Amino acid sequence: MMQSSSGGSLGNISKQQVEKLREMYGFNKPAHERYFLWMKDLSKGDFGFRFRDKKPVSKLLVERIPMTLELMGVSLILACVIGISLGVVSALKQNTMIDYILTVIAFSGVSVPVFFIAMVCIFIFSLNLDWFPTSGAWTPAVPLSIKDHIHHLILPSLVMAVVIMSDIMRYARASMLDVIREDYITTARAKGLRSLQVILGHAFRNALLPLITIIALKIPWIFGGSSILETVFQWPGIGSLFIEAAVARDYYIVMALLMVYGGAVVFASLIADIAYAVADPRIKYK
Amino acid sequence: MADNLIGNQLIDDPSANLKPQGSRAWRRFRRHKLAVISAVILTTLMILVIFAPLVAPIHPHDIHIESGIYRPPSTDHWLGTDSVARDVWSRLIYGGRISITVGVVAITISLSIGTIIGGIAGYYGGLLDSVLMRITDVFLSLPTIIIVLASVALIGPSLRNLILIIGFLSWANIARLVRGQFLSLREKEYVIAARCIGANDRRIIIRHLLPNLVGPLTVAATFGVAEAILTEAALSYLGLGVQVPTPSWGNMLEAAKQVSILKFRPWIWIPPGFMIAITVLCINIMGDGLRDALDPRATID
Repeated sequence: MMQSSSGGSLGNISKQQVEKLREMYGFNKPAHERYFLWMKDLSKGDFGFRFRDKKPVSKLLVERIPMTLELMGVSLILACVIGISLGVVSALKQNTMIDYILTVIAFSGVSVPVFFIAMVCIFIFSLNLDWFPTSGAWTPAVPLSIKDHIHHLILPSLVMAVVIMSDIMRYARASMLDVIREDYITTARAKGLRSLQVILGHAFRNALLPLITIIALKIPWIFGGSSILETVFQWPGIGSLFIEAAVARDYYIVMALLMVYGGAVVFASLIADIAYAVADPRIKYK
Repeated sequence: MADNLIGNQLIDDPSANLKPQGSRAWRRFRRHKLAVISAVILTTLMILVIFAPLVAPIHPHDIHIESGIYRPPSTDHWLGTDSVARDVWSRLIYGGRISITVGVVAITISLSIGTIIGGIAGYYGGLLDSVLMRITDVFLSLPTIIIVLASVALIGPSLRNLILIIGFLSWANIARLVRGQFLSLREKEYVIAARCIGANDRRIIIRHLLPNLVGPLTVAATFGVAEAILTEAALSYLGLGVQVPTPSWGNMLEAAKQVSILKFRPWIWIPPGFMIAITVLCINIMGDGLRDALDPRATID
């Protein structure tokens, strides 16, 4: 689909030059033919190249994918731990002040645009308090060090975690409320188990099941959010690469990344199925 | 014959007694305090935006060289001026017009597409259902913002394209909702009764099935508008949405990509960001209140 668009990446140059360039890049061929050419190259492991500097897309992917996985991984783990625990607390203290405050926080987290949260955080923590660097993944012109990298990672991963956490918190609360009303919870309490034991051993484990599916279904949404966040923080991952490429109409990159995103979504649902079987012994895949 | 018609209503057709349910829903909604406050704020915002020329007498495209660029807030420019000496307050109010319009129009489009596709799939079932639902799954599984970005890069950024793209790419949730409801509703006794007295498909769908969906669809549309406003803001922020000089909350934030503006001229980027946050937050809370009020399961007890 991206191939059918013409022009864009070719600026204001004479007609003859344009024709020559179009021939060189193969833009003069019809869209379906170009699509098959692209597929043919792809089967040989050739993703094409970036128009600006002719850098192979495969090389870019190898450089950029780990950066995105790192940022998403850290923030997803943070978000799951904090989000699920706050959601459970919110459900247990239903209709108290704590519940209301947590609900408002959760709603704000999904309502405020991620890049605005990022801007406010940069404004406060980087520009005014000078605690964290404003952008990038390393300090330029300084030898690589893990400490420096982590220092760059903190702010973007925290912002991302807050957004994902807000979403998970709402589902965790709803799921926990459903489970708490079940008969077996009353039974467990009637047996004389301590309330912490009932909550962790009986309620929490069952409340977790629907959450696994929901989090896996949220993966595409998280990818979308992270692409904007990466742009704000100039994080060198695939999200910022995709947006750069979309703005510059760099088709090879856009097509390769759309494929990566598609693959990631399929992979996420596979992981969810496996996690589901691990968390619930009743489910067995044969 | 007359008996038949009355009998048709006796078999718990929820669309037959819409009125009492409506007032019950209103009572439930009023009990949700946060939702009522949100509704009031949203109404105020709508009034501000609709009467924009009265609220912000300066035209948002006008360049005020005499005031200078990056002027902090003052009495003639309530929120100061931007990088080309335009009035930020006017741009904020007129920008709201654009942002809210994008949200509402885009969701109207996706609501229509979603209802038609979900309705056909749910009512007729079979192979048609499988094919339509697989297409819906594809749209559901892809990251919306990524696909929207790719489409904008393909067609080119403009207000009209943005509305169309968001509208055409966000119907999948609604289609799934409508299909699910239709699947269960078409087996209800009152639908079978309607078919027995000779009602055709069109009449059954419009008179007997769709009225039951008003509640869930209102809720879905409310959340959809919030989502669409966020998408518009993100795209305009990236420079792929509404194009200057037309103001929108998203493209007003684009200015703050420069660190100097972000650090020293907060009056340019904090107001539009705050407006997006407040609007979307209020819409989401109101949607939550509406869901509590209109949830058919909640009306049983």
